Amino acid sequence: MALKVELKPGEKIIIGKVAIRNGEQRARFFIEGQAPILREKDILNTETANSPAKCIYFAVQLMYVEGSIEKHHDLYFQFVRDFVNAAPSSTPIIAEINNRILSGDFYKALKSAKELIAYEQKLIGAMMGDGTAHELSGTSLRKDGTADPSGA
Amino acid sequence: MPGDIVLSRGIRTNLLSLQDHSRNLEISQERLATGKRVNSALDNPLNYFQADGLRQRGKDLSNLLDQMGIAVETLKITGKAIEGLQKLAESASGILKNAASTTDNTIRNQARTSFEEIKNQMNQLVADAGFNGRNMLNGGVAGAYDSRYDLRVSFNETLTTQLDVKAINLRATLAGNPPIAAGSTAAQVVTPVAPDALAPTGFPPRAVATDYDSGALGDATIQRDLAYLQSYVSSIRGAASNFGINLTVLQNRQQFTKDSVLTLNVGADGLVLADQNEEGAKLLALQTRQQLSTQALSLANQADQAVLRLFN
Repeated sequence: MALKVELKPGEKIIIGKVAIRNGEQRARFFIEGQAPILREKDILNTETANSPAKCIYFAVQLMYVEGSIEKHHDLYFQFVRDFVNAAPSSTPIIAEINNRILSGDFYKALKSAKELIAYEQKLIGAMMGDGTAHELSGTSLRKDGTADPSGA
Repeated sequence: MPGDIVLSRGIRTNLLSLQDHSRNLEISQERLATGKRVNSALDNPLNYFQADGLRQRGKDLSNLLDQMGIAVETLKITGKAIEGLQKLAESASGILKNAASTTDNTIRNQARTSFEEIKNQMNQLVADAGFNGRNMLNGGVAGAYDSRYDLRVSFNETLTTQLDVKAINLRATLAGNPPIAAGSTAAQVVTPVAPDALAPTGFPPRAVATDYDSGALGDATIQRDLAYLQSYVSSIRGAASNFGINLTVLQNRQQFTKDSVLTLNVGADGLVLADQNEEGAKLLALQTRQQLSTQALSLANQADQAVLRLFN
């Protein structure tokens, strides 16, 4: 089944190994076949990957885009080890990310990494005592998440 | 009863507090001994069961690791055997070429015998290429892939992802071919053989070591056997790269799984100490440390090589 994508003017999207930037008008198109697909709002860059959970998200994002685990294995587990040591209660979420990576399902791994970011904000918020989760700028994975757009 | 000791309220309170102390002491000693703050479901039910669940997942993954370990060993032994086969095939090739360049029947007959011996060594090597009862080079028909001998390795706890490594039969049947009948020419017999379909089986081994005798027939036989060797070697090369790639994939997965198990166990041990405020503070400290560390730099480096650099 083809994946329907709509882009706002100037919005960017990664499909496979290329980045596509929309022109001045809204665009709607369908993607068939298998390739990593990441919308601009789901993408963290080195500037915005500025918290421990976001670093993990970023490493999974690299695995997804390049379709390779081993290249980013060491860095990923450095981040994971640091995180688990700091916040052991996050282990179930991290186990989920690991499991999805092991199954080769990077897109779902990214969604779990998104959960980790939310959990991190909850912990830091609780510690700050303000009870409000700090809004994460620049990332909000598709809510529906019914299917992995890569079809994998 | 006259022997009863009556405790005053003050003493009773002291006694209760002493009993408390001694219970606390026991708990501390147990925690010191085990290194865990929560040792039973009664200490902190939620954390206890969650930690227990994580350890169980760790055990499941460890079981997969055992299988992966066996598979890795199997592929390593297979790879070594293939290396050996390649060397033997090369030396057989050398001997045949040497025989082809002489008309001395003694040398030619010696070559014929050596070739038969090398073939036997190759088959012995193939037969010995097994590990833990599995041989990926010896099942089914010579020269053919046979899925019954494939190696299947699971990658996750739910067994939904796996790697199938194809088995191939590399028994050498090269010298089992009948002598070339009079009247046929070398050109007819030296047909290229597809790497996947090596020389067919079923020919009786030749008992007489005179097939290579000088003359047109001997020359044609040598040329034919050389051609078979050539296709055998190319078949081996295909198999070697197939097994090699799968070994790399498997070793990478093995390392990832090992690190996952470690994470689960570290997490389970830490979970019993979990305190949200403390975790929040530690995460903030970690954030600062990471931003000052070389990890941020590695992250940027790896991103630079990917399409993601376009989003920086």
